[in-house]
Formats: sequence, structure tokens, C-alpha cells
Amino acid sequence: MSSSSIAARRESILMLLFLLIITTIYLATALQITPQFDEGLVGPSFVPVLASILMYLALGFVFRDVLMTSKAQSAADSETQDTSDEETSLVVPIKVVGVTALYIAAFKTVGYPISTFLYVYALLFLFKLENTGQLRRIAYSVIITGVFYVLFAVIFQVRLPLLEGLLP
Amino acid sequence: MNFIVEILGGFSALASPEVLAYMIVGFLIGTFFGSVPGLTSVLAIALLLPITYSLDVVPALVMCASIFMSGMYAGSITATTINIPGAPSSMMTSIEGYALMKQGYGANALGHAALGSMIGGVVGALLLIALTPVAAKVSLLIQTPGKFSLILFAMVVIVISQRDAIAKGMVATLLGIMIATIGIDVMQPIARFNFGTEALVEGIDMMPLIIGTFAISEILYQAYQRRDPLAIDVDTRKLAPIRRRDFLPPLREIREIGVFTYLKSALIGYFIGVLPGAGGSMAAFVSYAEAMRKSKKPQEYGKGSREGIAAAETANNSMCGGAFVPMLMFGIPGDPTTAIVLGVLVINGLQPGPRLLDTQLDLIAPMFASLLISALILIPLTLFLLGPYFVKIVSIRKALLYSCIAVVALVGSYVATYSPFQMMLALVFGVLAFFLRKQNYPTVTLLLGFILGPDLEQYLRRSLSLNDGNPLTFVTSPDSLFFLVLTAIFFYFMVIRVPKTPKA
Repeated sequence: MSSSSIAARRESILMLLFLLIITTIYLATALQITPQFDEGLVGPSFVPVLASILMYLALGFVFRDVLMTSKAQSAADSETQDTSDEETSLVVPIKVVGVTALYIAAFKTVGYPISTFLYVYALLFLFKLENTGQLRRIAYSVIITGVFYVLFAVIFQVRLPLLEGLLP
Repeated sequence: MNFIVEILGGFSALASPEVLAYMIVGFLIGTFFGSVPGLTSVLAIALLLPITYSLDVVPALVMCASIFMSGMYAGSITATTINIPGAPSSMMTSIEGYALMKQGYGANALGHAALGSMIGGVVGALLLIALTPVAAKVSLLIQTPGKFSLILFAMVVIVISQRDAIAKGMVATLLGIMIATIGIDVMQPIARFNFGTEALVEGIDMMPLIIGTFAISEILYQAYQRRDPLAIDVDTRKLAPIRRRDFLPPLREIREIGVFTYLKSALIGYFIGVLPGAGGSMAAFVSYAEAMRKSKKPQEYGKGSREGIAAAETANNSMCGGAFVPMLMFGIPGDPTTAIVLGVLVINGLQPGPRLLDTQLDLIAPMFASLLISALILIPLTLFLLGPYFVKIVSIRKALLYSCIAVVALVGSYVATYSPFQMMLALVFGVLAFFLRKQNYPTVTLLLGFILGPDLEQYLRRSLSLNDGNPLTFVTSPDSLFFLVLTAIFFYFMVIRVPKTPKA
């Protein structure tokens, strides 16, 4: 089996494990729900418990599919060479999530103009705005921040945070 | 009579400059999002959702309808010009359209796509207007057990529509149902799954889920793909230029395709639209396959068949009208776009159901009118005005585009409650949807599970409470039995006896 197939299989199983853990936590919490009045069998925990059981079943089917795909893949790999050219990477999405989390954390404190300008600048950098100088990138960040300020605050009258968080 | 007057009133509402402006802006937004590969009309409406907080309901719905119609049509633009379908529903169009483009008939292919979209959109909107009162009367006959079975039918169809990923579709749907159970119980005043935090007591709002699932996950997905989906092949740029005078398809070609093909495709599209979860892709695919089966020139398919373009585009635009029927009458969205439109209705305090036509038809009628006018006037007008520039329009830089989408999505999430918590929720759902999508789990079913889950639970528990916990009520109630039998029939034909895939 090629390295890309192994990685794909590992990712599929990790996702299944994640969903399995989530479902188990959900089921454990569902079993602890205490109804305010008796509804018989179908109380507040009925649908969550049923959904959990069906989820286990569905995850089982997906797991079976992963195993079958892996077998088929390894048979195909033995006949053909791996030609995947790694056109994907998780590094940039992780960075995007990081800067987005920072943006959200700073949004109210630093205010819309500064936080959005920095966020857009960071995204332009991460999305590799090529053939563009530093000055032009700053200009794009200012324009995008300004355009959406006008859209939300001026046209749609939304109160956006300015610099309140930084003021004493 | 009153219904007709209200519908005509809907058309007169479009005469208001403000509403007309929203319809045109919506159409242009839909055309842009529909034509740019990687963006969809679903994403456009998802980004619009927070803005609807600041809009009146009529312009918001009018804008949604025009985005829906134009987004469905615009997918054919890049499908024809650069062989990348702007939307999944234009997959069939790319096979035939790009073949014609390479032969120097790109403008002609775009003309046929626009004509098909126009006919399909108009027929779909007219059927919607004509059949909505009938659907409203039928929906009044459905009682609580029947409502449960109807939603169950919808959910089963949504899952089995994911032809190659039924198990994954089921996982995503159940995940949606599980997320929907967070917060106050549907029957009793107790909080579930809030894990001791006050922020989750009221449950998860639809908006961060929609923004996260469709906008944030798209940004992450594009960041994940190193290749720029908007980058246009150098060879494509060298193809014959698109000229306005070639847009109008010759009458001879339209006669060859035939009125019957257009009408049949429109009907196929409309009724597929009525089915929950089926959507434009299935409408285009089934209609294309049917047109190929009955064609006098099947040998042209795959090499530039105008009939194939007409069938696919007529069906996917006709689907728009059909998808509104279950959403408006039962609160069951026919596809992801109508799922978000349902969110717009709920935000504005409108409850789907037969009473919507009695009490708030004046708010809904302009949306019907917008669907019709968008198809009849705006599709050909946009092609004529913007047609020669389509390739340039879709060449926008990825970095600028996704930065703008990120700002609209996150600030839009903030708008609902003025709380960064909603923004963080959108990010969390975005990350979840990104990983689900990466593993080929259909995220659309997650949203539909989230929307339909609470009703499913409520009708199930009510039915059983009213019948002393006796589950036989679902079989003894005729309306419920009808939907259960329908579910079994669909399951048989779509899962057990799988239809053969036609060769494209």
C-alpha cells in the first residue's frame, strides 16, 4: 500500500474515532437526563439515545467501507505506481484557523478596524497573494476592511466595535 | 381568487425601486458565486443570512430567490467556457458545453444553456405558483403521526440521495440531529447537553452552523488545496472569443431539441426539486440521461450535444420552483439553498405551513415573482450584458476573494447577537465541516438533519403521547402509513434496486 493510501486510511480512522468519542460522550449525557414529568418510553432522552445507537451503526458501516476501500486500494497500488503529487496540505488551514481564532478573540477588544485589517492582511499572506508588493497588500487590506465597514455599519446599520475595549 | 390577487401583488412589489434593486443585486451576486468554481449560490445565501437581520422580509426573500435562480444558471458559464462547473448541477453542461466551446461554438452553448435555464426557471416558478395552494390543502390533511412519517421520509431520502456515501450521509445527518438536541427540550422545560454552560442552554443557533458549514469550511478547504481553483488554463484563454451576436440560438436548433424535451426536462426538474435533499445535480443528471435515452442523435452526446445542455439546464433551474414547495408547506427544505431560505423565514418570524398562504402570502408572493422574473428577464439580460466578460469575471484572485468571504462570514456571525461566541461557534462548525468534507461526508445532510431533527423528535413524542405510547399509530393512521410506504418504495428503488448509471 502506498504512503498516501496509508495516510488517507489513517485520517479516515481518526475521524471515525473522533465521532465515536463524541457519540459516547453524547450517549452518556443523554442517559443522565432527568425528565420533569413522565412521558413513558419517549422522554427527553429517547431521541438522543436512539440517535446515538444509529450513529454507532452508521459508523460501523463507514468503518467497513474504509477497510474495503483500503483492500481495493492496496490491490490497485500493487499494479500501478503512486502518482499523487501532494497538491494538498493541512499547514495552511491550521494557520487560517489560528489567525481566525485570534481575530475573534481580539474583535471586541481591539475593535473592527484594526482587528479586521490585521486579519485580512494575514489571510492575504496565507493565501499567497502573489506578484504583489507589501504596499499593495496593505492597500488591499485597507480597502477590504473599509468596504465591509461601509456595508455593515453604514448600509445595514450594524453597531461594530471600534476601540472601546482599549479605552480606559 | 384572493390567491391570484396576492400573487399579482407580489409582482407589483417588485416595482418598488428598493425591492427591484435587491432582486438585481441578488441576481448579480448569484451569477458571480454560481460562476466562480469553488463558490456556490448556497454560500452566497449563507453569507446573506446575517444581513437579513437588518433587512425587511420582502427584500430578503426576493434577494434569496434571485440568488437561487441565478446561481443555478451561472454554473453553466464556467462549465462551458473553462470546463470547470461553477456548481455541481452543471456537471452535465460542462461535458457538452466545453466540447462545443472547443469547436468554436462557446457562445452558442451559453445561449442554449441560458434558454434552457430560462424555460426551466419559468416553468418551475409557474408550477410553484399553481401548485402551492394544492400543496397547502394536502398539508392540512396530515396529522401528527403523518408529519413524523413525512419528516422521516424526507430524512431517509436525503440520506439515500448520497448515492456513493449513504453511510457517511447517515453519520452527517445524525450529527446534525445531535447538534439540534443541544438546548431546551422540545416538550419539557429542561436543558439538554449544555454541559453546565449557560451559553448552550438556548441551543445552537442556525446561523453559526450555516456560516461555519458553508463559508468557513470552504475557506479552509481552499487553503487546504494548494492549486488555485480559479486559475484558468492558458489553452482555454486561446479559445475562440465569445461574441454577443452568437448568443441567440438559431430557431432550427431549438426545433431540433423540441418543445417536448424542454417541457419534460422542466417537469423532471420540478418534481425532483420537490424531493427533499435531491437538488439540482440530480435533476440535471436524470433529465440529461432521459434526453439521451430518447434522443434522435445520441451519438452527439459527449461531443457537444445542444439537446444535452438544454435538458440539464432546463431541469436544474426548474428544480428551484419545486424545492420551495416542501419548504413552504412542511418546513422541509428541498435542497441546501431552501434550507437557508427557511432560516431567513424563521429569523423574520414566519412559520412554514399551510397557514402561511392564508396569513402572510403578501410576504411570500414577491419571492415567487422574483423567481419568475429572474428566470424570464434577468437570465437572458445577464448573458447579453456580461457574457463576453465571463472568463475575466471568474479570474479574480483567490486570496482577495476568500479574505472578503472570511470577513463577511465572521462579522456576519457577530451581527446576530453582538457576541464573539457566535463567531467562535461558526469557526468550530467550520473546522468540523472541513474535516467531514475532507473525508467525503456530505455536509449538506448535516444541515438538513439539524433543521429537521427537532420537528422529527417533537412529532414522534407527541404522536406517542397522544396514543398512550402505542407505536402502531404510525401504521394505523392513513397519512402516516402512506409516507412509510413511500419511504419503503424509495428505499427499494434507490438502494436495493439501484438504477443503472448512464454513460456520459
